[in-house]
Amino acid sequence: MHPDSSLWHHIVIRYIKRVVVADSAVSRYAAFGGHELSMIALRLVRLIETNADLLAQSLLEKFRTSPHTRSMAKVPEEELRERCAEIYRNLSEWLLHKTGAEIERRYRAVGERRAHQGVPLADLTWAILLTKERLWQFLEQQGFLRGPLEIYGELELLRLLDQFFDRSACYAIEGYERAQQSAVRARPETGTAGRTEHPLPA
Amino acid sequence: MIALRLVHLIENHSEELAETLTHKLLTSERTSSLRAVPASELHQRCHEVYRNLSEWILTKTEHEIEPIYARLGARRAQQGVDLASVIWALMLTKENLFEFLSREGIHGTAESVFGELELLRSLDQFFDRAIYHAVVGFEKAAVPVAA
Repeated sequence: MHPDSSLWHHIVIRYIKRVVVADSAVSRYAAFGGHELSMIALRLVRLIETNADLLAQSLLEKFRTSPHTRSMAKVPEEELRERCAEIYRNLSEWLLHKTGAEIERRYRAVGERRAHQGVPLADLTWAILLTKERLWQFLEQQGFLRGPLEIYGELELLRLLDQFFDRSACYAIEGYERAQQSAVRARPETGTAGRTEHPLPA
Repeated sequence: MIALRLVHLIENHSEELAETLTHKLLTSERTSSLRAVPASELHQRCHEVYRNLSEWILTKTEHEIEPIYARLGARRAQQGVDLASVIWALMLTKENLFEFLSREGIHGTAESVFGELELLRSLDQFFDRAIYHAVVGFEKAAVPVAA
Protein backbone atom coordinates (compact mmCIF):
# COMPACT_ATOMS: atom_id res chain seq x y z
CA MET A 1 0.00 0.00 0.00
CA HIS A 2 1.20 3.45 -0.72
CA PRO A 3 -0.67 6.63 -0.07
CA ASP A 4 -1.12 7.75 -3.65
CA SER A 5 -1.50 11.47 -4.25
CA SER A 6 -3.03 13.30 -7.15
CA LEU A 7 -1.76 16.64 -5.95
CA TRP A 8 0.93 17.08 -8.54
CA HIS A 9 -1.39 16.21 -11.35
CA HIS A 10 -3.94 18.59 -9.92
CA ILE A 11 -1.47 21.49 -9.82
CA VAL A 12 -0.35 20.80 -13.33
CA ILE A 13 -3.88 20.70 -14.72
CA ARG A 14 -4.80 23.98 -13.06
CA TYR A 15 -1.59 25.55 -14.19
CA ILE A 16 -2.17 24.46 -17.74
CA LYS A 17 -5.73 25.68 -17.80
CA ARG A 18 -4.98 29.09 -16.37
CA VAL A 19 -1.54 29.97 -17.60
CA VAL A 20 -0.39 28.16 -20.70
CA VAL A 21 -3.57 26.96 -22.26
CA ALA A 22 -2.79 28.72 -25.54
CA ASP A 23 0.28 26.61 -26.11
CA SER A 24 -0.47 23.94 -28.69
CA ALA A 25 1.54 21.26 -26.94
CA VAL A 26 -0.40 21.94 -23.79
CA SER A 27 -3.69 21.74 -25.60
CA ARG A 28 -2.69 18.35 -26.89
CA TYR A 29 -1.93 17.37 -23.35
CA ALA A 30 -5.50 18.14 -22.39
CA ALA A 31 -6.85 16.25 -25.40
CA PHE A 32 -4.82 13.10 -24.91
CA GLY A 33 -5.06 12.71 -21.21
CA GLY A 34 -1.55 13.43 -20.12
CA HIS A 35 0.74 11.94 -22.76
CA GLU A 36 2.21 15.26 -23.89
CA LEU A 37 2.95 16.16 -20.31
CA SER A 38 4.59 12.85 -19.73
CA MET A 39 6.82 13.53 -22.71
CA ILE A 40 8.07 16.72 -21.08
CA ALA A 41 8.70 14.94 -17.80
CA LEU A 42 10.31 12.20 -19.81
CA ARG A 43 12.73 14.70 -21.35
CA LEU A 44 13.96 15.54 -17.86
CA VAL A 45 14.23 11.87 -17.05
CA ARG A 46 16.26 11.25 -20.21
CA LEU A 47 18.64 14.01 -19.17
CA ILE A 48 19.14 12.23 -15.88
CA GLU A 49 19.65 8.88 -17.58
CA THR A 50 22.24 10.33 -19.96
CA ASN A 51 24.20 11.67 -16.99
CA ALA A 52 23.74 8.56 -14.85
CA ASP A 53 27.42 7.79 -14.35
CA LEU A 54 28.24 11.36 -13.40
CA LEU A 55 25.34 11.45 -10.97
CA ALA A 56 26.31 8.13 -9.46
CA GLN A 57 29.85 9.35 -8.94
CA SER A 58 28.76 12.52 -7.15
CA LEU A 59 26.26 10.55 -5.08
CA LEU A 60 29.03 8.21 -3.91
CA GLU A 61 31.01 11.28 -2.92
CA LYS A 62 28.04 12.47 -0.87
CA PHE A 63 27.80 9.09 0.85
CA ARG A 64 31.46 9.32 1.72
CA THR A 65 31.28 12.82 3.16
CA SER A 66 27.88 12.87 4.85
CA PRO A 67 28.00 12.01 8.57
CA HIS A 68 24.64 10.32 8.10
CA THR A 69 25.90 7.72 5.61
CA ARG A 70 29.33 6.80 6.95
CA SER A 71 28.45 3.14 7.24
CA MET A 72 27.70 2.88 3.55
CA ALA A 73 31.47 2.37 3.34
CA LYS A 74 30.73 -1.20 4.42
CA VAL A 75 29.24 -1.80 0.99
CA PRO A 76 31.89 -2.56 -1.67
CA GLU A 77 32.41 0.60 -3.71
CA GLU A 78 31.77 -1.10 -7.03
CA GLU A 79 28.49 -2.53 -5.81
CA LEU A 80 27.38 0.84 -4.51
CA ARG A 81 28.40 2.64 -7.69
CA GLU A 82 26.58 0.11 -9.83
CA ARG A 83 23.48 0.36 -7.64
CA CYS A 84 23.38 4.18 -7.87
CA ALA A 85 24.09 4.25 -11.60
CA GLU A 86 21.48 1.56 -12.21
CA ILE A 87 18.71 3.66 -10.66
CA TYR A 88 19.64 6.82 -12.58
CA ARG A 89 20.36 4.96 -15.82
CA ASN A 90 16.96 3.28 -15.85
CA LEU A 91 14.93 5.97 -14.18
CA SER A 92 12.18 6.02 -16.80
CA GLU A 93 11.81 2.28 -16.37
CA TRP A 94 11.51 2.61 -12.60
CA LEU A 95 9.16 5.58 -12.68
CA LEU A 96 6.91 4.70 -15.55
CA HIS A 97 6.88 0.95 -16.10
CA LYS A 98 7.78 -0.93 -12.93
CA THR A 99 4.86 -2.09 -10.84
CA GLY A 100 4.53 -1.61 -7.12
CA ALA A 101 5.29 -5.30 -6.67
CA GLU A 102 8.57 -4.98 -8.60
CA ILE A 103 9.67 -1.99 -6.56
CA GLU A 104 8.70 -3.85 -3.41
CA ARG A 105 10.73 -6.90 -4.39
CA ARG A 106 13.80 -4.91 -5.36
CA TYR A 107 13.92 -2.66 -2.32
CA ARG A 108 13.16 -5.36 0.17
CA ALA A 109 16.16 -7.20 -1.26
CA VAL A 110 18.29 -4.07 -0.96
CA GLY A 111 17.20 -3.64 2.66
CA GLU A 112 18.03 -7.26 3.45
CA ARG A 113 21.42 -7.03 1.79
CA ARG A 114 22.40 -3.87 3.65
CA ALA A 115 21.32 -5.48 6.91
CA HIS A 116 23.63 -8.40 6.23
CA GLN A 117 26.42 -6.00 5.33
CA GLY A 118 26.08 -4.35 8.74
CA VAL A 119 24.87 -0.97 7.45
CA PRO A 120 22.66 0.71 10.07
CA LEU A 121 19.12 1.27 8.93
CA ALA A 122 19.38 5.03 9.48
CA ASP A 123 22.30 5.23 7.05
CA LEU A 124 20.40 3.24 4.46
CA THR A 125 17.36 5.49 4.85
CA TRP A 126 19.45 8.63 4.47
CA ALA A 127 21.17 7.18 1.41
CA ILE A 128 17.83 6.65 -0.32
CA LEU A 129 16.72 10.17 0.52
CA LEU A 130 20.04 11.55 -0.76
CA THR A 131 19.55 9.67 -4.02
CA LYS A 132 16.37 11.66 -4.59
CA GLU A 133 17.89 14.93 -3.39
CA ARG A 134 20.80 14.60 -5.77
CA LEU A 135 18.38 14.57 -8.71
CA TRP A 136 16.90 17.92 -7.75
CA GLN A 137 20.26 19.49 -7.35
CA PHE A 138 21.21 18.21 -10.77
CA LEU A 139 18.09 19.59 -12.46
CA GLU A 140 18.62 22.94 -10.75
CA GLN A 141 22.26 23.02 -11.84
CA GLN A 142 21.19 22.32 -15.38
CA GLY A 143 19.07 25.45 -15.36
CA PHE A 144 15.75 23.74 -15.82
CA LEU A 145 12.54 24.72 -14.09
CA ARG A 146 12.31 28.15 -15.68
CA GLY A 147 9.70 28.23 -18.41
CA PRO A 148 6.08 27.04 -18.20
CA LEU A 149 6.71 23.77 -20.02
CA GLU A 150 9.60 22.90 -17.76
CA ILE A 151 7.63 23.83 -14.66
CA TYR A 152 4.80 21.44 -15.29
CA GLY A 153 7.19 18.81 -16.56
CA GLU A 154 9.01 19.17 -13.30
CA LEU A 155 5.83 18.94 -11.27
CA GLU A 156 4.94 15.71 -12.98
CA LEU A 157 8.41 14.37 -12.40
CA LEU A 158 8.32 15.49 -8.77
CA ARG A 159 5.19 13.47 -8.21
CA LEU A 160 6.62 10.35 -9.77
CA LEU A 161 9.93 10.63 -7.98
CA ASP A 162 8.27 11.30 -4.67
CA GLN A 163 6.10 8.22 -4.97
CA PHE A 164 8.96 6.07 -6.15
CA PHE A 165 11.39 7.04 -3.41
CA ASP A 166 8.77 6.89 -0.67
CA ARG A 167 8.00 3.34 -1.74
CA SER A 168 11.67 2.48 -2.02
CA ALA A 169 12.39 3.67 1.52
CA CYS A 170 9.45 1.80 2.98
CA TYR A 171 10.23 -1.47 1.25
CA ALA A 172 13.92 -1.24 2.07
CA ILE A 173 13.05 -0.74 5.73
CA GLU A 174 10.67 -3.68 5.64
CA GLY A 175 13.33 -5.87 4.02
CA TYR A 176 15.88 -4.75 6.56
CA GLU A 177 13.57 -5.53 9.46
CA ARG A 178 12.77 -8.94 8.02
CA ALA A 179 16.46 -9.74 7.79
CA GLN A 180 16.89 -8.71 11.41
CA GLN A 181 13.98 -10.87 12.50
CA SER A 182 15.29 -13.86 10.56
CA ALA A 183 18.68 -13.46 12.21
CA VAL A 184 17.05 -13.38 15.63
CA ARG A 185 15.08 -16.54 14.86
CA ALA A 186 18.23 -18.27 13.59
CA ARG A 187 20.23 -17.39 16.68
CA PRO A 188 20.59 -19.97 19.48
CA GLU A 189 18.55 -19.23 22.60
CA THR A 190 20.55 -16.93 24.90
CA GLY A 191 17.90 -16.21 27.43
CA THR A 192 17.49 -12.62 26.28
CA ALA A 193 14.13 -12.09 24.72
CA GLY A 194 13.08 -9.16 22.62
CA ARG A 195 14.88 -7.08 20.08
CA THR A 196 17.88 -7.90 18.02
CA GLU A 197 21.32 -6.55 18.57
CA HIS A 198 22.24 -4.09 15.85
CA PRO A 199 23.76 -4.15 13.35
CA LEU A 200 23.44 -7.73 12.19
CA PRO A 201 26.49 -9.87 11.74
CA ALA A 202 27.44 -10.22 8.07
CA MET B 1 8.63 32.95 -2.10
CA ILE B 2 6.94 30.05 -0.40
CA ALA B 3 3.14 29.89 -0.55
CA LEU B 4 2.40 31.21 2.94
CA ARG B 5 -1.28 31.35 2.13
CA LEU B 6 -1.28 27.57 1.87
CA VAL B 7 0.72 27.11 5.05
CA HIS B 8 -1.83 29.16 6.94
CA LEU B 9 -4.67 27.28 5.30
CA ILE B 10 -3.18 24.06 6.61
CA GLU B 11 -2.71 25.45 10.10
CA ASN B 12 -6.28 26.73 10.18
CA HIS B 13 -7.56 23.26 9.28
CA SER B 14 -5.15 21.39 11.52
CA GLU B 15 -7.88 19.84 13.65
CA GLU B 16 -9.74 18.45 10.64
CA LEU B 17 -6.47 17.21 9.13
CA ALA B 18 -5.48 15.52 12.38
CA GLU B 19 -8.86 13.86 12.57
CA THR B 20 -8.67 12.33 9.09
CA LEU B 21 -5.06 11.28 9.56
CA THR B 22 -5.74 9.59 12.90
CA HIS B 23 -8.54 7.64 11.25
CA LYS B 24 -6.23 6.56 8.41
CA LEU B 25 -3.49 5.52 10.80
CA LEU B 26 -5.85 3.43 12.86
CA THR B 27 -7.49 1.72 9.90
CA SER B 28 -4.62 1.20 7.44
CA GLU B 29 -3.21 -2.29 7.31
CA ARG B 30 0.32 -0.90 6.88
CA THR B 31 0.14 0.98 10.16
CA SER B 32 -1.71 -1.63 12.16
CA SER B 33 0.88 -1.78 14.92
CA LEU B 34 0.20 1.89 15.66
CA ARG B 35 -2.93 0.66 17.42
CA ALA B 36 -0.61 0.09 20.36
CA VAL B 37 -0.46 3.87 20.72
CA PRO B 38 -3.36 5.48 22.60
CA ALA B 39 -5.67 7.17 20.06
CA SER B 40 -5.59 10.45 21.98
CA GLU B 41 -1.79 10.52 21.85
CA LEU B 42 -1.84 9.78 18.14
CA HIS B 43 -4.35 12.52 17.48
CA GLN B 44 -2.41 15.01 19.59
CA ARG B 45 0.77 14.20 17.67
CA CYS B 46 -0.90 14.62 14.27
CA HIS B 47 -2.49 17.88 15.34
CA GLU B 48 0.78 19.27 16.64
CA VAL B 49 2.55 18.80 13.29
CA TYR B 50 -0.19 20.44 11.24
CA ARG B 51 -0.89 23.24 13.73
CA ASN B 52 2.69 24.47 13.74
CA LEU B 53 3.59 23.72 10.16
CA SER B 54 4.95 27.18 9.33
CA GLU B 55 7.33 26.88 12.25
CA TRP B 56 8.41 23.42 11.21
CA ILE B 57 9.21 24.22 7.63
CA LEU B 58 10.26 27.86 7.86
CA THR B 59 12.09 28.38 11.12
CA LYS B 60 13.07 25.04 12.68
CA THR B 61 16.60 23.95 11.95
CA GLU B 62 17.82 20.42 11.35
CA HIS B 63 19.07 20.39 14.94
CA GLU B 64 15.61 21.16 16.22
CA ILE B 65 13.90 18.57 14.05
CA GLU B 66 16.38 15.91 15.09
CA PRO B 67 15.64 15.51 18.83
CA ILE B 68 11.89 15.70 18.37
CA TYR B 69 11.70 12.97 15.77
CA ALA B 70 14.37 10.89 17.44
CA ARG B 71 12.22 10.97 20.59
CA LEU B 72 9.15 10.05 18.58
CA GLY B 73 10.98 7.06 17.08
CA ALA B 74 12.22 5.97 20.50
CA ARG B 75 8.76 6.24 22.03
CA ARG B 76 7.17 4.16 19.30
CA ALA B 77 9.87 1.51 19.75
CA GLN B 78 9.07 1.35 23.45
CA GLN B 79 5.37 1.09 22.65
CA GLY B 80 6.06 -1.97 20.52
CA VAL B 81 5.24 -0.33 17.19
CA ASP B 82 7.26 -1.74 14.29
CA LEU B 83 9.50 0.64 12.39
CA ALA B 84 7.82 0.11 9.04
CA SER B 85 4.54 1.35 10.56
CA VAL B 86 6.27 4.45 11.93
CA ILE B 87 7.66 5.26 8.51
CA TRP B 88 4.38 4.65 6.71
CA ALA B 89 2.70 6.89 9.26
CA LEU B 90 5.08 9.74 8.49
CA MET B 91 4.50 9.29 4.80
CA LEU B 92 0.75 9.23 5.34
CA THR B 93 1.09 12.48 7.29
CA LYS B 94 2.60 14.10 4.22
CA GLU B 95 0.15 12.44 1.87
CA ASN B 96 -2.84 13.55 3.92
CA LEU B 97 -1.56 17.08 3.60
CA PHE B 98 -1.15 16.81 -0.16
CA GLU B 99 -4.68 15.48 -0.53
CA PHE B 100 -6.00 18.39 1.48
CA LEU B 101 -4.08 20.92 -0.63
CA SER B 102 -5.31 19.25 -3.76
CA ARG B 103 -8.91 19.69 -2.59
CA GLU B 104 -8.71 23.08 -1.01
CA GLY B 105 -5.79 25.21 -1.75
CA ILE B 106 -3.71 24.85 -4.85
CA HIS B 107 -4.35 27.49 -7.49
CA GLY B 108 -1.69 26.76 -10.08
CA THR B 109 -1.69 30.31 -11.42
CA ALA B 110 1.38 31.95 -12.92
CA GLU B 111 1.79 34.06 -9.81
CA SER B 112 1.45 31.19 -7.38
CA VAL B 113 2.96 28.17 -9.06
CA PHE B 114 6.55 28.87 -8.04
CA GLY B 115 5.57 29.46 -4.41
CA GLU B 116 3.49 26.30 -4.40
CA LEU B 117 6.30 24.30 -5.88
CA GLU B 118 8.64 25.71 -3.26
CA LEU B 119 6.21 24.77 -0.50
CA LEU B 120 5.88 21.22 -1.78
CA ARG B 121 9.63 20.81 -1.91
CA SER B 122 10.00 22.24 1.61
CA LEU B 123 7.38 19.83 2.88
CA ASP B 124 9.11 16.96 1.16
CA GLN B 125 12.46 17.87 2.69
CA PHE B 126 10.95 18.30 6.13
CA PHE B 127 9.31 14.88 6.06
CA ASP B 128 12.45 13.24 4.68
CA ARG B 129 14.36 14.55 7.66
CA ALA B 130 11.62 13.57 10.07
CA ILE B 131 11.76 10.02 8.70
CA TYR B 132 15.52 9.81 9.04
CA HIS B 133 15.58 11.05 12.63
CA ALA B 134 12.67 8.83 13.61
CA VAL B 135 14.64 5.83 12.30
CA VAL B 136 17.69 6.91 14.30
CA GLY B 137 15.66 7.31 17.48
CA PHE B 138 13.86 4.04 16.96
CA GLU B 139 17.07 2.11 16.36
CA LYS B 140 18.77 3.60 19.40
CA ALA B 141 15.86 2.62 21.59
CA ALA B 142 15.87 -0.86 20.08
CA VAL B 143 19.58 -1.62 20.52
CA PRO B 144 20.38 -2.38 24.17
CA VAL B 145 18.01 -5.22 24.90
CA ALA B 146 19.67 -8.19 23.23
CA ALA B 147 23.27 -7.78 24.34
